[in-house]
Amino acid sequence: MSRPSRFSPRSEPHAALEERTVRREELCTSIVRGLTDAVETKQARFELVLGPRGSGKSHLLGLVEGRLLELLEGKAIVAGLPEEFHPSSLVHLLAEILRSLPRRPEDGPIERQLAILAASPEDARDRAVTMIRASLRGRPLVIVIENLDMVFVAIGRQGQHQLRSILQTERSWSIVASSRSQSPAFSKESEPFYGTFIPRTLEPLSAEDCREMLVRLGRACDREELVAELRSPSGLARVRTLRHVLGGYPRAMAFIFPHLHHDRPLAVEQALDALAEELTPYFQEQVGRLAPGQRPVVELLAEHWSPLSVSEISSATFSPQATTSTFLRRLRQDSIVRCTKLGREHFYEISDPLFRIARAMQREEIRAKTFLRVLRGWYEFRGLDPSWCACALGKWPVGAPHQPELGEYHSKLFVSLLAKIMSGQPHQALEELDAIDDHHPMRNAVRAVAYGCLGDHDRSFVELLSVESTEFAATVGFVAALGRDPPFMGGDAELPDEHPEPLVLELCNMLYAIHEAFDGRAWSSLQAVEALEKVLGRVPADARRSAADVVFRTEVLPRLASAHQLACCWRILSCLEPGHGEPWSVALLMSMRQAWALGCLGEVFPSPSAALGATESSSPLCRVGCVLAASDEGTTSSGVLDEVEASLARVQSIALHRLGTMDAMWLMLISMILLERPHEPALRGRFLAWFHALPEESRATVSGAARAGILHWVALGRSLEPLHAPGAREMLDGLDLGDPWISMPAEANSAYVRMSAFERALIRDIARSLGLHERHRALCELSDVGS
Amino acid sequence: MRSVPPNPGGSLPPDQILGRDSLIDGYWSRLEHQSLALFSPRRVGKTSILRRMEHRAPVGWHVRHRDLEGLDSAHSFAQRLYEDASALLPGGARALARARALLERLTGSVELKNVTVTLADQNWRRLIESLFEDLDEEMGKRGERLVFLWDEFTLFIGDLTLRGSERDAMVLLDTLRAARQQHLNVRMVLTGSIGFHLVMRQLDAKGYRNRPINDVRVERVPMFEAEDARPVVAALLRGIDVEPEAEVVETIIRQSEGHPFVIQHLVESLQATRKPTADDVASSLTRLLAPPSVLDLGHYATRLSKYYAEREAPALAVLDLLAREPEGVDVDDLFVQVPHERELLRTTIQDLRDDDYVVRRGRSLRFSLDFVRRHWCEDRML
Repeated sequence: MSRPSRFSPRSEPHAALEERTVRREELCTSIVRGLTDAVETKQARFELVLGPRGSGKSHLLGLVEGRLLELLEGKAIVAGLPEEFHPSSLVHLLAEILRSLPRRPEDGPIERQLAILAASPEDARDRAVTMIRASLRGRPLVIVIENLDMVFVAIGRQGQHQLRSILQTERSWSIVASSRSQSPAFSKESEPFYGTFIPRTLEPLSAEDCREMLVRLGRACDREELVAELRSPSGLARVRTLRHVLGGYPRAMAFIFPHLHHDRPLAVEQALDALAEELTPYFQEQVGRLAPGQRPVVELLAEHWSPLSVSEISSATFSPQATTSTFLRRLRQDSIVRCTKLGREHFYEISDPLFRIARAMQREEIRAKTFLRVLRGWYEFRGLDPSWCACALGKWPVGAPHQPELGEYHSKLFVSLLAKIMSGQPHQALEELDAIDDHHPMRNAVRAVAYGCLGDHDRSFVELLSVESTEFAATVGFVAALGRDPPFMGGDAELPDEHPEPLVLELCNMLYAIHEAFDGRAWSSLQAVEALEKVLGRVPADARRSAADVVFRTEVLPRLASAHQLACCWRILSCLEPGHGEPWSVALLMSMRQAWALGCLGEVFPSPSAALGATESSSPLCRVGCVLAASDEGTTSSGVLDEVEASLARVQSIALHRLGTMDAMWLMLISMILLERPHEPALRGRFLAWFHALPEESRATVSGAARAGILHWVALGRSLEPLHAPGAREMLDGLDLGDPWISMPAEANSAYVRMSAFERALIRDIARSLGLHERHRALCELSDVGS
Repeated sequence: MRSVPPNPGGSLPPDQILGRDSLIDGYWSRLEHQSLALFSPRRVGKTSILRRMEHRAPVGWHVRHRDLEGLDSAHSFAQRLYEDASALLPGGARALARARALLERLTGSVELKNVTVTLADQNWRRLIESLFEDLDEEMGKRGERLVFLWDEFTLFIGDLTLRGSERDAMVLLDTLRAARQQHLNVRMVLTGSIGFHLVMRQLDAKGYRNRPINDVRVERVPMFEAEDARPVVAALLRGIDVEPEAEVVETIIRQSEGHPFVIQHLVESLQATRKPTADDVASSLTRLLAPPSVLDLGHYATRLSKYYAEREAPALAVLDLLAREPEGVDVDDLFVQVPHERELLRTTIQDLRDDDYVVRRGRSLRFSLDFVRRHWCEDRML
C-alpha cells in the first residue's frame, strides 16, 4: 500500500483511498448511487460535501470520483478539477472543465481551444460551453470541484447566475463538490444556487473510527507493532485522548500518526512537539493569508483552549468591539472560527484544534500548559491490572465479580500498605510505595486511596483513572467494598453514615477538586466531566443512581460552569439509566437555570425547535424539560404551546388515581410553565378548561398533584424570580385546588433547607396566600432547620 | 409503475416530471388566447413545468425555452432572441429578412451563426421588433404558432434595474408588450420567483407608468394537489426501492403540504431507512426545517426589510397575527387588530399575497404554508 498523502488524497491511487476509508462508506455510497441514478435517468444532480479543513472532503471526493469513473465508464464523462484551483472567472472555470475532459486526437490540442477562448473574451463563455458540449458528444457530465465556496466567491454573483443558467440549459451536467461551510451562496434564498445542492456534512470521527484510521495507516506503513498497540484497550484510550486534543478529523490523525510509537509512550511530548514543528509553516501560511486585522484574533483564539466572548477578544487584541465582530463574522464565514451561542452571548473558538498545537509551540508558557494537559490525558489511561489488588487483601469483597490470583509477596505488601493508610498514615504508605522498585499494577490503586485520604483528590483521581478500563468496574467494586467492610481491618473500621457510597462521594470530591485546581475554563472542566462520564459508566449498576444523586446533591456538575460541560452533564445524566435518568436530567436542567439549560440544548441542538424535534423520541417528561428550557428564552412559540398542550393531553389520558411521583413531577413542570408565563392567557385558559372539565373526584387528585408540583418547583426553584411571585399566587389561586395535598417531596424539603432567606420567605408567602397553614408551619420548621 | 429517483434541487428530464399535466394542459389552453406569466416562490417547480410544457407542446406550436438568468443587458437578450429565432427558422436568411437587414445596416455584414454584434443605444429594440415581425410573418405563412418560454424573466428585469439600466428595462418591457399586441402568432410564457410587482415598484420610482404585463394572464404555480402528488411520491419512493405504502405516501403529502422541493427532500432523507414509517417522515421534516435548513425559511422575514420599505412594519404585524392563528383570521378582524392605517394595510396584504406569504380563502387570510407559519412563530418568538 502506498504512503498516504495528508493534503492531496485525490492524488493517491483509488485503491489506496478505498483501503483507508473509515466511517464514510455509507455517505460515499449514497452520493455515488445518487449520481449514477441521475446519469442513468438523464437527470442532473448536485451534491455538496461540507466540512472544515482536514475533515476528509478531498478523500471522499477522490473516492466518489474513482467509483464514478468505474461505474460510469462509457455512460458519462467524469471531469475532476484539480484540488488547488482558483479560477479568475466563470470562463476560467469552464476552460478548466474543458481541460479536464478526455480528449480524442480529432479534438486537436487543448491549447488551441484555450487560445480561441482567450482571443474572444466577449463570447468566450458561450464558446467554452459549446466546446465542452462538443467534447461530451451527447454524454452526461459529472464535474468534481473542490472548495466550491471559494470558486463561487471567485466567479462572483453574476458568474454564479451564468453558471446556473448553463446548468439549467445543459440539463445533464452534474456537480459533486466540497465546501468548508454551508456558505450563503448555497443556502440563502436570494442566491442563485439556493436549494440546488444536496448538502452532506462530514462529522468528526468517533474515537473508535480514529483508531481504525490509525490502524489502517499503520498497516499502510508496515507498523504492525503500533497496530497491535492501537488495537488494545489502552490503545483506544490513548486515541481518545489524542482525539480530544487534536479533534476528530482525519487529517489530524494523519498528522499525528508518524509521531506515534508503540514502544515510546513517553515520547508523546516530543511527538507533539514534532507535529507542531511540522504544522507551524502550514498554519503560518494560513494566518498569512488572512487580513491583517484578522490575524491577531486567530492567534489569540489559537492560544486559548476555551471559547472567548467578543468583548474578551476585543479587549485582548486592543480592537474595537464592532471591528472585532466584523473580523469574527468573516472568519466564521471562512470556517476558521466557530461560534457557540449561550443565552444571548456568542463565544468563539478556533475551528481546527491543530491550530492550537501549532501555536502552542511558539509560546513557551502556553506550551507548558498544553503539554501538561496532553500528558495528563495520555497517561491517565496507562495500564494496570487492578483486579490483582484484591488478592493482596487475601479476601475478595462480597459481590466482587471474580478473584484473580496474586502472589503472597504482593498480598502481604499491599495489605500492610492499606492498613497504614486506613490507620491514618498515608504519607508513610506513599513513601514506602515510592521506595519500592516494583511496578506492580496494584500500586496505582493503593496510591489512589492514599491520596484520597490526604485530600489530594486531583492526584487520587488521576491514579484511579490509571486503572485499565476493562478492569475498572472490578476496582470500583473493590474500593467500594473496602469502605464498607475493610477486610484487612477485620471489619471493625466503619465509615460515617453520611457517606454510604464512599467511592462515589470520593469521586465527586475529586472532580470538584479538579475543577477548583484549574481555572474552571473549558478544557480542564471538560476533561473532568468526561472522566466523570467514564467513571459513572463503570460504577456498578446498583451504585449508579447513588452516584448521580451524590453528583447532583454536591452540585459538582453545575459548578463546572460552562455550557459545554453542562451539556455533557445533561447527556450523561439523561443516559444514566432508563427510567431513572430523566428525573436527574430534568433536575439538572432546573439547577442550571433555564437560560443555561437552553444554552446546553443549543449546544446539542441547533435550535429550540430542533431540541423539541429531537426529544420526540424521548419520554414526555424529558420533552417537557426541553420545552421548559425553550420557553425561558422568550422563544415560546405555538410549537411550544402545542407541546404543552400535548403534555396536557397525556395528563388527561392518565388514570388519575394512579398519579405517581413521575406524573406529579411532570404536572409540576407543566404548572411551572404556566407559572413562568402568566401572561399566556391562552395556555392558562387551556389548562384551566381541562382542569374544570375533570370529574369532581379526579380534580382533587390532580389539583393536589399540581400543587405539590408547584410547591416542589418553588422549593427547588432556583430560577424563581420575584416577578413571578404574583403570577404564581394568581395561578395557584385560580386553580381552586380543593383539599390540599401537600406532602412535600423529600427532595423539596432538603432543597428548601439550602435556600436563601429570600426564597424561603417567598415560599412562605405563597403558602400563606393559599391558606395552607399546616404547610406553612412545616415550612417554618424547615426554615429554622435551614438557618 | 413509475420509478423516479429523488433529486432535490436537481434537473429532471421532461418524462420524469410528474403530477403537473393537468396544470400544463390548462396553460396550453390559455396560450391559445394570450401569453402567460407563471409566478411562484423558488423551488416550486416552474422550470420543470416549462420543460414539461415543451415536451407536451400541442401540434402546430413551436417552443423555444430560454433561461434568462445571468443575462446582463437588454442587448444580450436581443442576441439570444436572434439565436433562438435563427434556430427555429432554418431558412433564416429568408425568414428573418427584416432582422438581418437591420443587422447588416448596423454592422455592414452579419453571420447567421454565432452572431456577435454590438447593439449600441437601443438598436437592440429595433432588432427585437424586427425579429418579432419576421417570426410572426413566418408563423402566419406556415399556419403555426410560436411560444417563447422565458425562465427567470423577473430576475432578468430585476437585475437590469439593479444595474442601473432601468431605462432599458422599461423599453424592453414596452417592446415585448407591443410585440404581444401586434404579433398574435407569437406568445410568451414568463416565469419569475421574486415578485414582479416589486420590480415594477422600483421602475415606478424611476418614473415608469406603464403596466407592461397587463395583457398577460398571470398564474401562480401552485403546490401539488393531493391527487397529483400521490403518483409523484409513489414514483419517488420506488426510486429509492421502497414500496409506497398508503400511510407513508399520505404523510409525506400532508407534511410537505404538496411542496415539490420538500417532497423531494423528504423522500431523499428516507433512503437510509429500510422500511420508512409515517413517524420517519415526520422526523425527517423536523430535521429538514431545523436550521440551517436547505429551505432557508428565515428569508420570509429578512426579505421584508429589503423589499417592503415603509410597509415592513405593517407586514410584520399582519404576519405575526396570522402566525398565531393556524386557521386564519377574518379580514375584517385583521383590520381591527393590526394598528395601521387601513389603505397601507390593504396594499401590504396585497403584496403579501403576491409574494405568496399569505392566501385568502373567502374572508379568511392565512399563511400559504403551515410549516412556514410554524417557523415564523419560532423565528419571531411568538
